Amino acid sequence: MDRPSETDGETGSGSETPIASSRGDTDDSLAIETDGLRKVYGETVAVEGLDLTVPRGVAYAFLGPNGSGKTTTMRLLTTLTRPTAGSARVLGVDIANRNPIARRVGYLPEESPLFVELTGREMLTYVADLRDIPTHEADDRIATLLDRFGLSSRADDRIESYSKGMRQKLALVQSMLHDPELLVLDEPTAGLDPRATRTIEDVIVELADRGVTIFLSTHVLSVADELADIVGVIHDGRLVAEGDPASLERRGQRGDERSLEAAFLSVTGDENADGWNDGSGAKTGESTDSPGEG
Amino acid sequence: MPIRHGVRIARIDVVRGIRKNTATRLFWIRILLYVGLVGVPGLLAGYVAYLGGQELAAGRSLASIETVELFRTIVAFVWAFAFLIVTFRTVGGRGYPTTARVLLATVPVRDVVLGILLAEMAFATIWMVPFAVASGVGFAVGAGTLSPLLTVPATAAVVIASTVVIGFTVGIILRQFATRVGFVVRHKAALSLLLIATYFMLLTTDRLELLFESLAPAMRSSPIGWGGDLSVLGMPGVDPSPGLAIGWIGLAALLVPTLVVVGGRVAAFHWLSDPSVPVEPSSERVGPPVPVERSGILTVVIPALVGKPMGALVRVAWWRAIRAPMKFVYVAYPLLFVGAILVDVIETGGVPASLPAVVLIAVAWGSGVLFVLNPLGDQGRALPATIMTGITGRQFVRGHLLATLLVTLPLGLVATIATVLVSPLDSATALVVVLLCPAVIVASATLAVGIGTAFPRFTATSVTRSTRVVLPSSVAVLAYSVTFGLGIGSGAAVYSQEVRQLAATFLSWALPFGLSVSTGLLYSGSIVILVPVLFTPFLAYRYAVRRFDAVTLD
Repeated sequence: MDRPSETDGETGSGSETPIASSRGDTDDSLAIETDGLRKVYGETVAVEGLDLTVPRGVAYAFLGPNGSGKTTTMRLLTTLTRPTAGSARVLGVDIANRNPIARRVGYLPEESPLFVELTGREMLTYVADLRDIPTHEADDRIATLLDRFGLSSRADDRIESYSKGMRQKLALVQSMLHDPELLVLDEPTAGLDPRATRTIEDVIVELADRGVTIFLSTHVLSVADELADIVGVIHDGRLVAEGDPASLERRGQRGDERSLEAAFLSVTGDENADGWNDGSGAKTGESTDSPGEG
Repeated sequence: MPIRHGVRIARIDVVRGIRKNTATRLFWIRILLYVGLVGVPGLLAGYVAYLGGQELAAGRSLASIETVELFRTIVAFVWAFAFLIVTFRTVGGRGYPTTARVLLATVPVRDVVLGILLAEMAFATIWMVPFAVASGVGFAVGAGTLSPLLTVPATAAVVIASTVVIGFTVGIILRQFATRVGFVVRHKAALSLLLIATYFMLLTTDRLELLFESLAPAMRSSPIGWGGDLSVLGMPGVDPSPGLAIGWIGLAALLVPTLVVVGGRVAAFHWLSDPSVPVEPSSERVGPPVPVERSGILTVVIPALVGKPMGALVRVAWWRAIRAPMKFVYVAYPLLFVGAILVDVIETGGVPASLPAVVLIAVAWGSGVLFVLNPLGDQGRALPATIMTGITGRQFVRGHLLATLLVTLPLGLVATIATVLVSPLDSATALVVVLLCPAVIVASATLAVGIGTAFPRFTATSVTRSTRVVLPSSVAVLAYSVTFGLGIGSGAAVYSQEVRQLAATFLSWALPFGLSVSTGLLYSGSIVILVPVLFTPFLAYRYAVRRFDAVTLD
């Protein structure tokens, strides 16, 4: 992957120096740009004054403890929830316009969005038909992707018989059926075994190499370190640090210890941050739907 | 210690139950439902008790049988009803503790059982207290004596305590049978439908009433009827047996603690026994492989006619329905009534003139609940994927309507025409029924899609431990049924003088304080109701389209 030039190693939110080069006008070089994005659920502030820019063609890892606002941010960017304040553009389109974004963006939520009564192939055909992809093109793409993810032999079994890893891979396939320019992936490797994790990581790398922008959240630091061109850390709904993995590691250096984990603990200000883990893929803490998930 | 644990478990259970019903945007609708289902009938019960008290004080009899016998019968039937409810709840979800793994690993089973029993008693009290208090006050005021203020609530308390412990124990035994016996587990869906069908057949063919009539003498003379003596103790003009009243309390005092212990033993056996079938999804194939064939009606013809997105919605709705039929149990309700009428037709050899209308109403109601009464909730976890395909609200709503109407329109037309042909309906009315058939079916489905998107339900309901289905919300079912009923009822009243006459007679009989309704008033009132109801499907469609276009995961 081509890593972009190192950006400012730290950014704040609200009044601190914004990274975005332009506000108000569309910047074609940006896949995502948010301006003071805010989301409040009742009395809970899930996202607070988020200023975020993601250049096109990069892999951006969005890190943060449980409840820090990762999932809410992803839902805002994919139009699946509406902001309380602020604005955002995805691929140059305001997030108030769902359909133009849906046509060009793929989204993998944390829970696999599948009808378990269907077979894997039926589920993919359903999504392809809803997207009105021409039949032959859809069938070819489904066959190729099923093969790429090692799901061909079980494609005609019902999803209810699939393991978690198979469901996650199938969900990822459905999110990329329409060849999206931007893939938003919420915890794509959470709870998967090493083999399934590796398959998904390989595909993400391939996509990024082809110029697809990847915006992923993860708790697994090794995944972020390995895949991401840029890492952003969100804490209490605010972007508290951003930069390429190497610059963040330098920032978090303590004596001889220099790692993304140390950087994370440093910027989130809590060495016992709930939900942090060592890369095993198992997330601590309880996941909730909303508000404040991820 | 067991009591302390039990009380704590019950308190958490009750608080959870209350929060589940109050921490929702439907809170006020649920309050209205409670008032409608309990408050108003409770007041009516109080009014009836007041009239009854007056009659007794005046030395008049309330029925053809002795007054004490009447009260024994009433208490016996209330007891039997409460017992059946507790038993059914136990066979269902209440027979297995929530957070069972935590509870059973933390406290003894008997403490958990005690907690469940206390919680069930609390829930039963919430439902029964308004009736008991209103009836007690009604009798007291009507008869001019204070004793019912104590005896009626005391009777209710004994009914609640005894039915909960006995119903729980019996329910656990039935649950063990239903979830651990291989044959029953394998055929539970078919057996459940058979039981429901049998119940409705008995109900609609009046055989259930006959059964109750034949059981009544035995029930009122058995211990479950003795509470009747307690309820009227001290009432003027009644001669209850104090011995039976005290005996009833004594028997309950003996049975309740005994059955708490027995129920604990039975529950421990059930909860700690191995299930008959694996609960977790297995890695084996489920059902035969179903390759996508792009050559059939679903994959080629319908998409070619209506476009691929709508075709996909129809196809997936049908496939999911065929593979998980339990969630369509709602649809069977009116069809069972039709079935009962058909049984009557076969038995008597005569076709009633109302049969085509009944068939049409059943199919039209079913048209609303088949695929369109919970279109958003029915998407479940797949909702984000469906939204992110960029499908429009119009496509989403029309796709679901099409999935329903492709089934119900031909079915409704064929069934209505067939019954019209064999019924003694006059030709003008027959023509009206046939012409109205498609309009009513389309309007019902369109009405339902709006109500269903306004009151979606996303959480799955456990049918059994391993089967979970997303059913439409009760508010949606109620709102749809009420609107549908208002439309059908007012339409019939506007069209037919006979219907108006029948309704006026019924209302004049049912209304309290000597109130009556004229057929003229019914005609005007029906027009006032019918006109806005006719517009609701259009509004419902527009609402559903806009709702989907703006739907979020909040």
